[in-house]
Amino acid sequence: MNALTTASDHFELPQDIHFLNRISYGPTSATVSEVAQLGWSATLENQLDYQSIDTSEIDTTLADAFPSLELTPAEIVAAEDEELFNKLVPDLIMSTVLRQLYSPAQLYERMVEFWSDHFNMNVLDSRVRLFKITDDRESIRPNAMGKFRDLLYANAHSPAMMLYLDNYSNTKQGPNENYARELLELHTLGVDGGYNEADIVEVARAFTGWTVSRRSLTFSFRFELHDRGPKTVLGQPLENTFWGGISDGEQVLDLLASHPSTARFICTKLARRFVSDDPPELLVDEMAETFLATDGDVKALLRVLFNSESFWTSQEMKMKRPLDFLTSTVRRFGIQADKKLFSYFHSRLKQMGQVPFLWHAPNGYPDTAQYWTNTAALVSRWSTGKDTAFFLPRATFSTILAGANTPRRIIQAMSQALIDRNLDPQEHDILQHTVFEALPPDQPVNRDPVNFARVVAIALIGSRYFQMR
Amino acid sequence: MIKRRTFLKSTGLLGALPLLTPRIGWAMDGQSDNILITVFLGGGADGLNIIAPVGEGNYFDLRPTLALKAPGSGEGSSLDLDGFYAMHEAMGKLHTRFHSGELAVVQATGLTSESHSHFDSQSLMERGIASEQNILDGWLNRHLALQADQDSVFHAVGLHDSLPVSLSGDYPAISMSSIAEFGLNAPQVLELKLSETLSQLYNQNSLLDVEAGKALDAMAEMRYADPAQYEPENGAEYPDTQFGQHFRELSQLIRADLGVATASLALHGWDHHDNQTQVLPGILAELSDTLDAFALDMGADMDRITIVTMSEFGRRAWENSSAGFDHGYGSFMLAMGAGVVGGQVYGDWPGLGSNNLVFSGDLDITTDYRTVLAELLYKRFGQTDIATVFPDLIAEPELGVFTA
Repeated sequence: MNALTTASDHFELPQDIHFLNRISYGPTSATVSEVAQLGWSATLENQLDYQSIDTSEIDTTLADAFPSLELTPAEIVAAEDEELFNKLVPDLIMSTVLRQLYSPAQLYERMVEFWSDHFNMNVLDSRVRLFKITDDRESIRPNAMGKFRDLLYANAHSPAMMLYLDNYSNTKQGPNENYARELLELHTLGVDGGYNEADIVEVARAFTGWTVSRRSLTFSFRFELHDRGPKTVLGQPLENTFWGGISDGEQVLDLLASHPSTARFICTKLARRFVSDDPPELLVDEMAETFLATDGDVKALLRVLFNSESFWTSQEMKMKRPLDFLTSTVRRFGIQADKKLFSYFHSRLKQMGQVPFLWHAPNGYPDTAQYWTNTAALVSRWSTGKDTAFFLPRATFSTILAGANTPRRIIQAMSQALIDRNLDPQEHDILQHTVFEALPPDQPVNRDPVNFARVVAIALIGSRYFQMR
Repeated sequence: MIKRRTFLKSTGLLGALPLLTPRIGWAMDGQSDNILITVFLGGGADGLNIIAPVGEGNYFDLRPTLALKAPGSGEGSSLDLDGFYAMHEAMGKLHTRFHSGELAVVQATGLTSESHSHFDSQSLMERGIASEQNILDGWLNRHLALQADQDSVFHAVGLHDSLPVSLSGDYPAISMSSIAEFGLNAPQVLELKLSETLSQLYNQNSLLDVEAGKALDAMAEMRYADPAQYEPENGAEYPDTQFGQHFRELSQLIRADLGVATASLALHGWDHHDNQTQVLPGILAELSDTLDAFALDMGADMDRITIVTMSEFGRRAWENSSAGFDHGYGSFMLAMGAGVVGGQVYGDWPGLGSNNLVFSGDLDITTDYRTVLAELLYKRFGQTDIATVFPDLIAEPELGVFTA
């Protein structure tokens, strides 16, 4: 059922573009020249060393536009400002998408998205809403290129996750299994990772007393709510230290972070995100080995991934998710988003079903073509392409056309600009006939070429080439 | 029978269809007019506080603060069904339809898998299997594939952002998140030109091409049929929620005679690990009011429409310290409309005594949910090859929820 790519092989996608399709939210003229100049290997190292990338421009813009992003939950509550509270989610969504569109640290933003999906929480839950901005700022972002173990620790201590998966009320007197189950199934081992229902009960007991302080609105461990009895997780008794308390949960996290099932689960997901829906076993094996040897070091994993043959032979094997579809359009055309445009994008993401942070369940937005390829999704993409092509200023197209004024040259210029290749002759003819009708291919058009370019652009954005990355 | 799309292509009607010809009427006979609607209650709906066994004392012991109040015990009482079971008070409209014989309930039913994972359970349930095996398509899709050729691109519709797994597979099904958004919303000349271009560009056999082909066909049909013109009838008022509006739009698709035979919808938000009393009444009212509005709206057409609900699992019999319930096992199903022998609660009651509960204290399952669906498919939709639709279903006696 997954035979997605019977795409014509006449006209290959340049490898640089393939690389940019995966490490970024879509190539731009600037990133295309950068890779051409440095080569992909040096570009990758630059992207991995994300802290050295100058992101001051986007950082300043966001800090000015969204002061709420810097606030702590306690400050938000103290402000007693309903308007501020209602802005938290839109601010987070907008700043996230703006970073994806314009931050030069593109691979880093891709990893932020990956971990936000992995540790998904739905911010429509009003309790989560208060804490998610802090979670994003203090748990996800500082660790997105770090070690999995640190991410897992940060997430387990994050009030947002504690509220989302109810661990805040998991106590000795009344255990709540929600967090324990998803910790094993979604965050670490995977559903086939070798645990059973009894392990869930034991893990839930280990995390009793992990909660959120009502006063400081930060993590707190409450000893009196903790179940101090002996516990066995995955066949291994937890070490009962003198205090018996918080170390139970920490031991579980250590056990899980270094478990071979976790290594495979995380590496499969990474390879699915960056290579293909069903990533080759060989690649997953190699990555899992690196995972276990490095405490799940994300940079090391990405190096293995991007250096693999599997990666370099996976051109256009990934279906763009709606967010990829939109960001790659914006970056392609070099569009500067203003408020009005952003609200259009937001409505489109909503229609296509991928507004960041709004997935309804703890497993995060799906990452396979099977889910995103359907009639509703395609129609939305087509109409979004149409709106975008008509919305863009004339100058955008005249720059791309650079004087092209015959059907043949208009189609070629738009193809090169939007899908990085010429259409094969048959497809070229289709556009020639449907867009230009009886006009001979090499005869100058008798109206403004931009009018034709817009229609060609809609067809190209709607075509198979633009749905894949 | 000639495939509709092939026919349209061969006659060159694809792009121009809406201007030239009404939808071609294909032969239909008897049961082929019947419409099946499935509703997935995502998150694990707590059957015990929806169809409450108020006749069993253990129920109140296990749920000291969260049990429904017995019928007739003052404000907030549950609504009596048959003396033993009572319905949550938020479902007043469905309660009325139960007693008028239009609605049936199956209790202690569900997916007989040990998995208490939402994602595993939903995936198994939508594929119609009880344990993991190499079957990737959905049970509804297999059912449809065994039947006659598709006579309309709208034959199987998922009203959803994506296509539900139950409808996925070789049989062509479409997904639609809303009628208004299902089109290019361009001037007609441009819309036809673009449709023609896209139709020619998506000329291969990948999943993407197949979906594109269906999308273009459906857009063409909708340009002609204009389902948005139909207003709800009989004073029906749908809740202004995504679920309510999906049912409203389904009624429009049916009324526009687009050939809908199977539709799948979902209502998510049943994962009530904490503070159940704050969230359960709202979502139950949404479910009840929506189904009621739909039945009212469809009026006489309800004599060919059957609605059935299911959830991936129920919830733990005993309440947790967060005033909610962890993942459980047995849950409930509703069946409403044509062929439903309503006014009864079906299924053996397994009891809530400590010897009756399974796993960590879950209501047992006495009826495989597929037994209910198999009876429905057989009696209302002429499906005789149940073994293909539900490959590992162990035959159980039917409950008699439906008549032919």
